[in-house]
Amino acid sequence: MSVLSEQEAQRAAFARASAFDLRPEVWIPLVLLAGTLGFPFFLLVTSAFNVGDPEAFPAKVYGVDNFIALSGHLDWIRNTLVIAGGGTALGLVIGVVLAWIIHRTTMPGRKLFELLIAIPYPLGPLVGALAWSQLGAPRDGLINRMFGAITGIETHLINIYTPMGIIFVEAIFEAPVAVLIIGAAMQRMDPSLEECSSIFGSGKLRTAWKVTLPLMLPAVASAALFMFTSMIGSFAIPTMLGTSSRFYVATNAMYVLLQGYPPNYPLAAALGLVLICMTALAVWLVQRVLRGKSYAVISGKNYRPRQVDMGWITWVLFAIASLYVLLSLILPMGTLLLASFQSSNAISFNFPAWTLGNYKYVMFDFPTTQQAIINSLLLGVGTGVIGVLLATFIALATHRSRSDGRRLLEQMTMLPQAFPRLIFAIGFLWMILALPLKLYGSLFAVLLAYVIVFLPLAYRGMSGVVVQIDIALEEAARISGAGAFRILRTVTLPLLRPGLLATWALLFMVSVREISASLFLSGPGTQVLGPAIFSFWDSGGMPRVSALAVVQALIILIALTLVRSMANRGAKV
Amino acid sequence: MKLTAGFRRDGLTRRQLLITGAGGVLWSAMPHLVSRAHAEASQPPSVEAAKAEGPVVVWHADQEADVVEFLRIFKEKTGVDAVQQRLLPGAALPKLEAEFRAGQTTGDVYITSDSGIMENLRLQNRLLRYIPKDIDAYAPEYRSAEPGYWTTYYVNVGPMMYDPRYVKKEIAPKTWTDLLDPQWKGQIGFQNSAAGTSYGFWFAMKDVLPKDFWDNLGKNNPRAYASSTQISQDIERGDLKIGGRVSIFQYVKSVRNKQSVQAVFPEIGVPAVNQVIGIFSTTKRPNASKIFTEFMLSKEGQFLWNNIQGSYSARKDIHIEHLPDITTLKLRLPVDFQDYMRPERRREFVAIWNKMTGL
Repeated sequence: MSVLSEQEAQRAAFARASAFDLRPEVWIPLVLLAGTLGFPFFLLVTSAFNVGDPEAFPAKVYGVDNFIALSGHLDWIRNTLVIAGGGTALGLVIGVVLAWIIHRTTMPGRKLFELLIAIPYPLGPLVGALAWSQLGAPRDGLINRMFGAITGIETHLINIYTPMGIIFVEAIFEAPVAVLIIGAAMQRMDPSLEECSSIFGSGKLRTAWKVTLPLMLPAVASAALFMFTSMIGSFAIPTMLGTSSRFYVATNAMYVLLQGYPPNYPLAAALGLVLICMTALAVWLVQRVLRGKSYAVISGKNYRPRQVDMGWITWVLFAIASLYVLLSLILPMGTLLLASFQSSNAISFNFPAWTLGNYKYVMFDFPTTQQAIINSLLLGVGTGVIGVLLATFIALATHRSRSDGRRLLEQMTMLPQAFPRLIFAIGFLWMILALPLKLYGSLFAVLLAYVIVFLPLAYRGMSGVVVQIDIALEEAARISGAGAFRILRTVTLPLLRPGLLATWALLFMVSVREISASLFLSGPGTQVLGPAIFSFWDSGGMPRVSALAVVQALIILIALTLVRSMANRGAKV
Repeated sequence: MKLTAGFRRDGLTRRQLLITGAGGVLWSAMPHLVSRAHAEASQPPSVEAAKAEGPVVVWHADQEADVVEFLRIFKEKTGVDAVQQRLLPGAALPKLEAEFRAGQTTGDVYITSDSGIMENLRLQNRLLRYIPKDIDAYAPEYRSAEPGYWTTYYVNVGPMMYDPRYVKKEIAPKTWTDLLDPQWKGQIGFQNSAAGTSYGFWFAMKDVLPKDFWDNLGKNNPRAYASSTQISQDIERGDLKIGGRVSIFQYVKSVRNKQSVQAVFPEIGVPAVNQVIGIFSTTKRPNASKIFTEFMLSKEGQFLWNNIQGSYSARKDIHIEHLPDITTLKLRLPVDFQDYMRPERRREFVAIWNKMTGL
């Protein structure tokens, strides 16, 4: 009897090992994602290998000529890697340092800094590039003018229209994401690990370096991956700061290839495929780094991580945090404010000549603004809600399910991050036109595109949180007799709550500032703020675009304040 | 003929795609749409019907603020509402292509700096023919061969520009070949290859200037901008010395703002392109579209538009303050229209221009 049971058990084990066990929690999102991404991806691949009529779709003649042509533009790819690599490194340093200062030290004004540091991200790269083009332009930039006035030296101090300038602006406007992702993980850390380190004689900095930082590895890797892929696909900053100085990365090159007539889809698509490969490589590297290690830092106990008193160094940390706020928020917004009062493109300090006419124009005379504001807010809220729900489900499926295909689901979820949004938007446009539903021209179509485009971001946010929650808590609840829904309601969701709110806020922000996908998908009645500002930058002159950017910033600030107060009320309840 | 055949070949390819999707149904509706459009073409517009149709949607690549101002006045004068969407050709045409295939068009009126694109649309039966009352005020070179498909709503002249605060008049370029002087290395700005005006400039001047002009110009590392507004802005701020070809209205706007910018009109000739207006054959607001076109091309509309923007009207009876007398300029418009429209010619331009501007 026992021999038979053993054989049966072996057979069952063999059957389990050999059968493809694909469960609904994995295949349902997999099918949905494959369906939604399949068409744009098909368009991208066929276009990349199209060597016939560049406008033919689907292509008739296939070959690798576009990739050969791309080999003549390796500088685009090299520049993309330089900007994404450099920006990520700098952004990560800023993110880790600021997250640690805010969440793990006793520096005064931490709550205020937490808010101020978060603001540059929703303001967005467009606002960042716009402001820094006025701060760091070689001749007329405010910083160089001040430098010249003080020192009498005619040479400029900084030139923002350089690769270093682009890296700097990318980093300071993406760093808040790193602060958010790493900070969320820091808040959930078991302080006893650090206490152990202290007991064994490690100093504060050594503990931070040897204990805190390694425990933060999943969050750091998530933040790095997010920033790297964002910067690979970054559009506004290279376009506004690079193009006019003949510095091309993949996106601003692609923009020119697509904006001209006839648009060079094949070369742009080949470039897009290269970007996808680069992103896939980054995802693979992050997975490899994290593979086989346990990062569960949330277990049955409720921790409040100890905050470290850094003594006199606290004031150095205060200066670091203040410098960041100065460079990423005060100087850029101050400059935009100054520029918005001008009647010409050059900033003048002749106060009697200042005007409020630019605000009157963008708020009342320019009909697009009001509609764009309402649409952007609606899209921000909608993308946040749907994106968070979807991402949470997928994160739980990939980290909790024992189904096959989890890795595939994760890779599929991350795929949109690798899509150049300009190309994705065209493919998506074709898809919604082919659907029998009347989606085209509706805000819902833009919402759907936003959800897909930002799903990787939402997934990274939720994945970083889910991976840190010890499954033993849910198992304990199950053993105690709780059903699946009750476990979700009483254990999983409360633990996920900070991550859910953070991810929602993140999605809201990125939606409000989105440009490149919206350029193709928004239209009369569905205008949104990003393209409105971009179009004004293109043809409206600096004073008016600055006024519009200030208005956008105010809206985002008001919305964020409301969200925070709602979140705080919820937390008290 | 060759072009027509080419488009038919493309249409078949695309239809195959449609058949695989939901396009078959929409394809069957196309004859109805086309016949409806032809029927509507011959009908004079009714203001009441136009108001009932809702806002006419104008696609353009002009200065957004100028278009908004013009639309505001248009509504004031006619009672017909209008909205605008700014789309450069590379964005407008794929969007239009997708919309046409699906029969879900959103645009009504198209205004563009590239008359070649508009002529292509005409050949594809994608334009509604409507002959405005004032069509005779436009010389044949400023309208489609068969009048009523597209007409020039302004002539975009492109001189060089500089600011005497940063470039002394004595050393400023006087003619196009002066741009080859190494002293301007990295200090000349052009619009990028996506701009119809850049294509018009290259096309109009390619047989006038030396063959190696573009290669030699490339050695001076000219900078590419998305719009003439940005070129003008950088000139004004001193971050760019020379605007290699800047739309004339930037000069007028600068003069109005009491800035010191100078325009240079070389004696050898100054490039110009026709900015043209047409109505999509699938317009859902035919009355409003016709009223808009009628107004834009009328004497009153032409004065308003060109005065707002600071540009030349194609009509001889319109004069805008601060613009140099057009009769004193040697304008170089694209003359060989068939060649101007050829996709191969465009590709040649894009390759040359991109190389020149470092892309």
